[in-house]
Amino acid sequence: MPMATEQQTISWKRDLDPALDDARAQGRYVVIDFSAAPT
Amino acid sequence: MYPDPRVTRFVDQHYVPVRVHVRDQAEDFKRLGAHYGAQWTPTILVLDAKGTERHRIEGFLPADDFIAQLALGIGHAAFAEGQFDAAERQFREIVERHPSSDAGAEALYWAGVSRYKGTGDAAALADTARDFSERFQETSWAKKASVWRK
Repeated sequence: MPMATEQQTISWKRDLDPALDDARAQGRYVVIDFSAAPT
Repeated sequence: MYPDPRVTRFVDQHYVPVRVHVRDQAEDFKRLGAHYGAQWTPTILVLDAKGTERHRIEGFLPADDFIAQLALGIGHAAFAEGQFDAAERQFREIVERHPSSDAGAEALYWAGVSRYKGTGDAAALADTARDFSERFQETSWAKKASVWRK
């Protein structure tokens, strides 16, 4: 029986300010992607 | 989209990711694009937690090069915060993991600067210039480091 493969995807946020709050809380940086790629 | 799972993993492990789509979020794109000077897609910025830009990637890159650029962003952000030991470690890891990427040469340069800033030892710069005589010789970073030769 073939096994299904799970495609891992990035959980993009749409709003910057909550992302900055998360970055502060998690001690991380933010990567912001200005994109025209199909969603 | 980022089809390469290595990119997905790297972003998930190291960053809080935000996407602003040129059509689906036209107002956000206009506002944030103006704020950060993003006039082309893809433009990828690494921001610190205050929203200050620390690294910029414009245009598509192969996965290895893109990961190396994302890693550079972590190094530059640490450097800007005065975390010179952490920045040097990050930059040296990029040199070793991505030796054939453009980011490798940039990382070698900034590893030397980070060591100098952290220790005040000018030998860090001379050592870096010597390192550039053995690798990344044809890059602009090697030219920049050449003034440090003893």
